[in-house]
Amino acid sequence: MNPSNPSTQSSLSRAWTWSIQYSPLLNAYRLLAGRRYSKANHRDLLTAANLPKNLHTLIDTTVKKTKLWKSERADIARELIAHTQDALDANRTEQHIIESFGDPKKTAKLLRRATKRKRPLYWRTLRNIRRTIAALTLLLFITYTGLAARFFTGQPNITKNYAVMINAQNDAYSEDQKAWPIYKEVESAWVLHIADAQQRQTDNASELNGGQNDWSAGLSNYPQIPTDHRDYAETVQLFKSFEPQLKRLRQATHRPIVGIELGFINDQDYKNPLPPSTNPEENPSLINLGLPHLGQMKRSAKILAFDTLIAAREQDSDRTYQNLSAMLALTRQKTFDHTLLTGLVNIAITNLTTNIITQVIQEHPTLLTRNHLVALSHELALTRPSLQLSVEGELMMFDDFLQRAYTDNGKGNGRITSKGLFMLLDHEQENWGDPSQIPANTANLLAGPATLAIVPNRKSQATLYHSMMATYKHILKEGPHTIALIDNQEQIIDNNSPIPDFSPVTFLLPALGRSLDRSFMVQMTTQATTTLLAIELYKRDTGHLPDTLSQLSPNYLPTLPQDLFNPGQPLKYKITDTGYLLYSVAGDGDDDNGKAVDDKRHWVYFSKRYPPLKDQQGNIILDNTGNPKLAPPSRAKDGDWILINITTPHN
Amino acid sequence: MKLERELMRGAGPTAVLKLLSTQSMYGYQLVETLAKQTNGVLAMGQSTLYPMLYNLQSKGLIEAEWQDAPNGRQRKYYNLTTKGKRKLKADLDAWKKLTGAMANLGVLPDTTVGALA
Repeated sequence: MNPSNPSTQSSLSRAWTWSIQYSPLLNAYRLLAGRRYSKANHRDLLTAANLPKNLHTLIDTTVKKTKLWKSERADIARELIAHTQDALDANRTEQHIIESFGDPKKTAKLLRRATKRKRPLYWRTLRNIRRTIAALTLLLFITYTGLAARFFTGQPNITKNYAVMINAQNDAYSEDQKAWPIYKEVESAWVLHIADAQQRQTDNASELNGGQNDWSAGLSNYPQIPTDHRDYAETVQLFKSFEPQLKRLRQATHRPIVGIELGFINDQDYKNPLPPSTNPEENPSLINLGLPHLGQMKRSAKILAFDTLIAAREQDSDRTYQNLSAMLALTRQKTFDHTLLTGLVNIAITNLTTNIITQVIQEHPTLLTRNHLVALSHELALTRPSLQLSVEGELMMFDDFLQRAYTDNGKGNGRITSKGLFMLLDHEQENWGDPSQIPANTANLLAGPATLAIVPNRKSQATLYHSMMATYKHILKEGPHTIALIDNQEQIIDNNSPIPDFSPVTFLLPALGRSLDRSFMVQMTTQATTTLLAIELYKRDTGHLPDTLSQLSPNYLPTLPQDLFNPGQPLKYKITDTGYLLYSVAGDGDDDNGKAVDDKRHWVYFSKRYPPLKDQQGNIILDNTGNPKLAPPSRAKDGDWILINITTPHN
Repeated sequence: MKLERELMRGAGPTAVLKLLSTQSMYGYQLVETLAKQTNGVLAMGQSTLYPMLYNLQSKGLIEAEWQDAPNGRQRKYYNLTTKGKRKLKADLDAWKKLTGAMANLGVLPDTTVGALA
């Protein structure tokens, strides 16, 4: 085959022939095909042509300036040499040939452009790909440079000092109105008081379990230590010998505020909290604010609970009441962080208290005096407002995060800053907002500007979070039949957070749904306990149980206890052979005559009782008040939620 | 007289295609023939001719072939392809219309139109 004979070839084969004829990558083919000019370069051809020096130089310069492939340069040179030789043969002068040739530089440029147009499709495709990649790279570089400039120059504007604002609320109270100093002293004394016994009990439990870890030690399980437990007697003795400090603890619970000066978490055990600086820029994010009093209050409640049971078993009615009263006072004691966590701790302490009240009445029905029962009833009523969950603390934490992580354009909007990005990354490492913990390595710095494109702006995040919290407050106010609204909001957040790790709302949002369940449940348990106290008072006054709850109102109960699983209806009351029951119809919404649901998961969730109606796209259908329309509670298991079950014969 | 650059850019390729429609020609031959037959109006140097030829080749209007000349040297001969013939026909029609229009305006004598046939 002669690749230089195009007249006998189709256009496709000509293209192929051309490519293998001229491509520098296929010199090997040319060698195999024995092409005459395959090895020639334009200089060899010029030397062989033996042209006059000026013409030689003219062609050499022109061909060199084309900067084409070697084979293309040779082909052009061969044609220009042939042209020049023909001109010389026709007796044209050197001068004439040079003048008619034109400017070598311009000629080289035109030849280069025209020759490249002749190159094959694969070459032009590769060239276009290269150009596209280069253009995209340039675009990326320009975009990245712009983003980098915005990212690294963005600075937050930290103006609000939330930590100082929270602590300042303590200043309105005198020192003798603050419980925290006593709590700290009592707890330190308690730790020392039980240290040896605790070690001994733990070692003993471990030994009984063949050297394995064992948590059955009495001091690890109060208040619920069975009276026949091996450590019961020793644990009771430890409590009795601690009575002077317990007395101080009970008294401290009745002070109006906890009065702790909150600081930032500085070490794992919160031993050296960092006091808030008056300059907000020097403070860590409010997420780092320690709330050590919550754990301490839970521990205090457990101590008081066990001492209640000890006192009741000793028939010490005053101490029994004082402990119960102190436990309820704990939940009423003011703190100023206004966080959901504080509310949940209050709920936990209230649940413990109502359980202990029930247990005391069950086991020692005549121990508490009439006055004690009346007082407890009143104190339970006083406790209710403190059980109303608040998310003001969470809102402060979120707004503080935004002011530290975003720029501020003065109109409520801004973009994520490099410090803000590190705070988001820090969340992954659970250092909670201390950017210094994140290594400013090359990868982080390079990736940083790109996050401007994926981290939502300040305004959208603030709007979303505040809207979520407004919905939360709305549900708390309206009742559990609106609980589906929170799922609706969470769906909106999911839709707005394509990359959740880079969305402040996603990682700063607490578990709102579950806390709502707890809030509504504690309303029912406190009402049930108030009703229990009313029934006991009624029994003492009349000598028998009431036939119905309505007999208690208004003398013993201002209002009947409401069943939040049964809108508009009171809790059910049933006299049994051995005592009486107070129960809710629970998740299935119907009265099963006090038959308990065996599986707790089927009644504790109000979302099962009040499932929303949804359209075909899965969106919740709202009524004209903005609350969800409800579907039948089909998912709940048959049965009731037993709130109070007194089995001691009363009649 | 030489044509201005823009006019040459329009007329040059058609002139080259027309010459190649009669026979295969090599570069110097094309230059000489163009200069002679157009009284120097379409005379062009190598800087104009060869880029033009390469462009026509890249468009598939002409094709090239190295052949031995009678004097023993190699020359690259250019031929018109089928596509080139179609293009030449279209160009000639366009030129006819243009010259007819110019004649109607009195810019060209009527005889010019007939010369393009």
